[in-house]
Amino acid sequence: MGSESDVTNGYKAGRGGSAAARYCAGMARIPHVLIVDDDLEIRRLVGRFLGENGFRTTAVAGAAEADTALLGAQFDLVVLDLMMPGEDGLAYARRLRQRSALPILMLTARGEDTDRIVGLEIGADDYLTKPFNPRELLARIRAVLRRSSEGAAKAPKSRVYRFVGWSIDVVRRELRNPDGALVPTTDTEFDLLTVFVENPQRVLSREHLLDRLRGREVQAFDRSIDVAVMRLRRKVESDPTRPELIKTVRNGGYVLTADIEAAS
Amino acid sequence: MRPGWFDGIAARIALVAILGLVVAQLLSVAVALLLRPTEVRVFSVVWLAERSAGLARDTFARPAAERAGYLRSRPDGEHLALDWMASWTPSEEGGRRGRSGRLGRAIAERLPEGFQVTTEFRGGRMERGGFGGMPEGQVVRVPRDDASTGEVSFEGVLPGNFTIAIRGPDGSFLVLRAQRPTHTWAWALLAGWLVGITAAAALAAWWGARRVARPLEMLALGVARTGAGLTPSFAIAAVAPREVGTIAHALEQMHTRLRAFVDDRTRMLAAISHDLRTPLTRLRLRAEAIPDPEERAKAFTDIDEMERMITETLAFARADALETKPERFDLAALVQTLVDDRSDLGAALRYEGPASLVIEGRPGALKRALANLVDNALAYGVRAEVRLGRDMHSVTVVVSDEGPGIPESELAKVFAPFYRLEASRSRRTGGTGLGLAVARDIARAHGGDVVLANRAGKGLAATLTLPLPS
Repeated sequence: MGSESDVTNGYKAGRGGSAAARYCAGMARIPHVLIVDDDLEIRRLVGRFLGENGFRTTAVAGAAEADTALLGAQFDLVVLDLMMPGEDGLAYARRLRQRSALPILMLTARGEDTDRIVGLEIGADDYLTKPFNPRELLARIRAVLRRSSEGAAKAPKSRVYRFVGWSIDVVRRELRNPDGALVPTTDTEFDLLTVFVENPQRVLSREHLLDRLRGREVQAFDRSIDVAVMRLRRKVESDPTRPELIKTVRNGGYVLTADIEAAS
Repeated sequence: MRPGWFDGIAARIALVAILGLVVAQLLSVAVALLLRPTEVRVFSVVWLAERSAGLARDTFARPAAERAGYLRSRPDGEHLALDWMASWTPSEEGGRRGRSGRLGRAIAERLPEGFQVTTEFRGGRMERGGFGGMPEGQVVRVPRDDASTGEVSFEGVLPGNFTIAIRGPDGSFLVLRAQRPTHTWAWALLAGWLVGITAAAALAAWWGARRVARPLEMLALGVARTGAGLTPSFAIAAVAPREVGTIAHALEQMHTRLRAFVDDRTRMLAAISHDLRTPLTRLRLRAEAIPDPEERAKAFTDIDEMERMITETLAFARADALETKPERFDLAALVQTLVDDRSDLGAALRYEGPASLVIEGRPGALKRALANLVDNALAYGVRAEVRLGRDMHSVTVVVSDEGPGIPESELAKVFAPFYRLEASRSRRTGGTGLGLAVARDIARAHGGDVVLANRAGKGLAATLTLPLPS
């Protein structure tokens, strides 16, 4: 602690700060992000970027320093690099998860799917591959923070949901049909279906769905929710022109009619 | 060349064996025929006189029109050649002839008045009552009368070199000659023997050749697994010929060396690509600080391009996608996902095909292969279409664009890694020159392929084929 690698941004709001402030209006204070990365420059640059966008950040070089930092201050989220000398990101995330529910966003230089899945299975909340788009990082951090503030009071979410033979694994991001075959989806379709299975038999308005999805998807979300629903129906309905699973409610929105069986 | 059963090594070995056997058989038959002793038929003078006189009486007792037919129907045909002719002239140098010969006299004695007998002997007359004119060591066949006791007297016999002409009362002639011995049954037996032994040998040769070729076939199948993306098998049967074992061993060593070589290169590529990601991340973050929005956007584009190159290079090195296990997945949903993702970004792209088509494969790898083909089509053609279809044996995904196409001579070359087209198609697209190579590698690892063809109208069609298990 106190070395030159620790960079703490204050409350100053730079570019985009107003947006963050508006977003954080419902929160008691400015969110504090702990950045753990062995690369000094990345620590500095991510810290500066998040600082400019209305976050308070503390950056440390490794697991041991992160432990010290966590003792000294209240954090809302950890941005954790997977590849670090000493205790690596995965091991640290596992240790961290055992003692707290602090949201974790993993960063890695390896684009391999297994890393992502292992990271998410350990309990990381999201995952980004280097080189990442800083704006995407921002969007993901906000989404994770919002999910954690919303879900704080609720029971932990399930990992696998089943409905009329279909199964959806939200960690692996896999949708399987009743025969067990993998059905690839776009990110939007998957997120939409996730919202549906988490809220079965509830009418979800277009505005609500759009709002739930915006947290993750940055681009191309001017497109109506209807297109996404139509595409989803093409994949999960036996007759997309006469949907049985995802029904349209006049002037209301959409509803998932099936019974959901949740499993961890 | 048309493939057929004949192309197999077993068939060829068997063929060589059968060919050798047939040649050997034919040669021994030829030798046997050449060395075979000459056959001479010997006639008893008494038998010949009796038979000739009897035939002459019977023949001339019939009307002229029936005589030829009667002679043809005679069983004597086997020993004697019988002809009835209007006139007969003795041959010029025709040996000795005369009415006074012992044979001629013996016949004439047995005929009524009005008959005249002439005899001719080719190649000299035999000594009276003996075999003086015949070389030693020759087989003698003596015709027997059915009624005879089977005992043959060598007294009063003649070799079959005679011609007997009996002039009938009406002036026409009955001509008798010794029939050369025929061996129809013997030839048939010989032919049957040859065919039979060849057939039996062919079966044995085929069975044996199959046993010899089997280990080689197994090895070929095992090694061919590499092409289908599986670990090759170099196992051979314990009974395999030594050479097959040598080949298997050599192939295994070669495979191990190649594998190690590729693995080294892959590790190097992966390490470089991985190490590039950290400075690239810094660059990406630094670019956020560029005040001019236009310059900032351009910097992002450059960084994105570099990242894509890293990703594609890694994909080419097979460091990622092909390492996952094959599983059942919906190819139609995958293609639609690709199309929808790009349509959302404003691409003019259309999907045509079934809503669902489940196959077995590596969805991650195939998604990359198809994405490469689709992005290629969108980069070069204004508009593109992805068509998914299946038949009994395969699934095809055709990605067609409306771009300028590729010169026919370049169609095969563009699959080479880092190959770039000149002129019209080389406009900046940000590709690495690996997209097609990666796509084809992935398709081949699934036992399929990617081919390019210019479309009849305009543009290019890339066809990815995947075999279906039968």
